[in-house]
Amino acid sequence: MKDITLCGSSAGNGVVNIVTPRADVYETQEAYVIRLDMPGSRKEAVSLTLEGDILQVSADVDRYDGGLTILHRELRTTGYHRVFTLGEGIDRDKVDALFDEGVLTVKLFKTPEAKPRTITIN
Amino acid sequence: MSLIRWNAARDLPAFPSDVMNMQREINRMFDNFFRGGLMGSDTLASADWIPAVDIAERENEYSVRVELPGVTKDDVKITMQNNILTVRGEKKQEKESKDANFHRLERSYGSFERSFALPSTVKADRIDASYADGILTIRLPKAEEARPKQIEVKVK
Repeated sequence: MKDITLCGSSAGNGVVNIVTPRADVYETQEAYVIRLDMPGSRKEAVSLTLEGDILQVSADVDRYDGGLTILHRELRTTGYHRVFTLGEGIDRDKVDALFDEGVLTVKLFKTPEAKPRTITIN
Repeated sequence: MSLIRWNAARDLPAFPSDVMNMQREINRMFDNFFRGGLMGSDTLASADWIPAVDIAERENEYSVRVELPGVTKDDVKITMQNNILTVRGEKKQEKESKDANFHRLERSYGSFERSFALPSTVKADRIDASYADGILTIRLPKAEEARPKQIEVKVK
């Protein structure tokens, strides 16, 4: 699985700052799991698309409401975007996604052929 | 002849002072980043990672937002002692990934800690905190005397 996202946290004028969310990718017997840290976003603000081999994640981050004076700022993200290229052996029709505690978990199930098989010795 | 440590700036008498100033500025920025902001002093001791923090002010309260994606509410501890607010906790690795085969590991795990020196005008007994979508929000109400007051001045 390759990650082809190039856009970083290069904020132009400080208004829009789309960040590449940090990701963990691991493989279990039955699936590949991608976990992305996307704090400040909401389930409804996350979009996940799969087109051919391209899995695309984007999300908006809630802004502050008015009446606030920011005294100290480190949270500058206004959105998230990341693209993954899927390899062979992934069932395109069986993708699960869950957004919880600011973390998006995408589960990509393996095709039956890609799953490890135990061969009995006669 | 003695050996003298090479210094780029000394060998270039005409080295523009702007560049030196810029370097000083960058060093200062780095120092400040780890020292914390307007209100704060940060503890780096015994922490594996440092969450990002915003501090904002409203008419009647201060609010602190801490980025803690994937941290369970029960694993966060907020304490207040001698006007120092401390947020500490641990981000644990998900159970099912423990024996998985990792292709990529970019997220931070382990203990985190941040402390802030608060103005004495904060009502320590009325601090409350909530956690949603990976963001911990701590609200610190201001004492009455710290709120802006409007005094009407009559012109005679």
